[in-house]
Amino acid sequence: MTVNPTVIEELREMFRSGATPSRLVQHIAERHPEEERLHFLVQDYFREAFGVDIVRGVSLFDPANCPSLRYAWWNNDLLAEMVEKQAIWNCDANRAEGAFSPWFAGLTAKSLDEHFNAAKGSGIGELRNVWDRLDPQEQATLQRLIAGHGWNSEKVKILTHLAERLQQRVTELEGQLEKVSESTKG
Amino acid sequence: MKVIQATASTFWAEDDADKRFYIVGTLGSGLLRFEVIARLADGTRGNVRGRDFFDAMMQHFGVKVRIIEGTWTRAHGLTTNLDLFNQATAAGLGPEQAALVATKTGQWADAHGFTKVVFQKLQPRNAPGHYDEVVVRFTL
Repeated sequence: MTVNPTVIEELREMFRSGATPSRLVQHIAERHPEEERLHFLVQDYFREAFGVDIVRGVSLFDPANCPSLRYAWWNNDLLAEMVEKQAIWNCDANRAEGAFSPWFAGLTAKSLDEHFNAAKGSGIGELRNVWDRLDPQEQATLQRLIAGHGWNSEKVKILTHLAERLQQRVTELEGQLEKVSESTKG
Repeated sequence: MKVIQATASTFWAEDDADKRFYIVGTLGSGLLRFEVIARLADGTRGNVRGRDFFDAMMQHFGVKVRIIEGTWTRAHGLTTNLDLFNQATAAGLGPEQAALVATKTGQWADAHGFTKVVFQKLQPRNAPGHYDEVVVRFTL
């Protein structure tokens, strides 16, 4: 698959402005209307543009039916990883003086793996005195629950910022619409 | 089967008679993540079995694979593994055993010697037969 560097920059800019992963997939489809293997092309674009390992469920995407709440799973699957890897793909924007601040500025995220490792016995201060008395199954369960809690908390934080960015955008557009309406009346 | 891309970190292949059926696999730091489409939601099957896609991917990556990850969620709508997992846990199998012996990914991983099972996500908690989201890792 051949990715277009211009499209990569377009995708990054759209994401900085608040586009969700489904919108980005739709954009890839629009920019490559003849592509028969969107499921492969999307992998390349998300890896090049955002460092994402894998985009699942592309075969279920229907460009004619987007946006749609049915694609909300990509927000769960991909947003945290895109934020986690922003140091790889968003470094130029961070350095730019007076650059537009993206909605995820200041947010950090860790992979589930990192959360999982951090939740191992030694990393959980409050459980230090009882950890060794738990059997391996109990330890594994606690580790999974603590890791999952940390991971989900980060996802919620990311989603709250994105939701607010989208509300900003709605307000901007409402303002523009109002001006157009007034000028039309006048 | 037609291999579309095979690099140190990626493996893509498709059913050469029907592009709707494919595998995408990615390997990073020994962790293998993948998605196989060997059957559509309406039951239509391709000419290449999921197992054959998987074996071709494993052959490509070889000994560099240390962990095989399964991510099964109802949200995607691709629920073959999740459904099998839920059937098995509802029937009384423990989650580890169910993941390894009852699911496609577990059976394929087992056949390559990846028999240890660790869950990283199992939601909702303690819900045999009704899990919505599972992240599981198979190791040697």
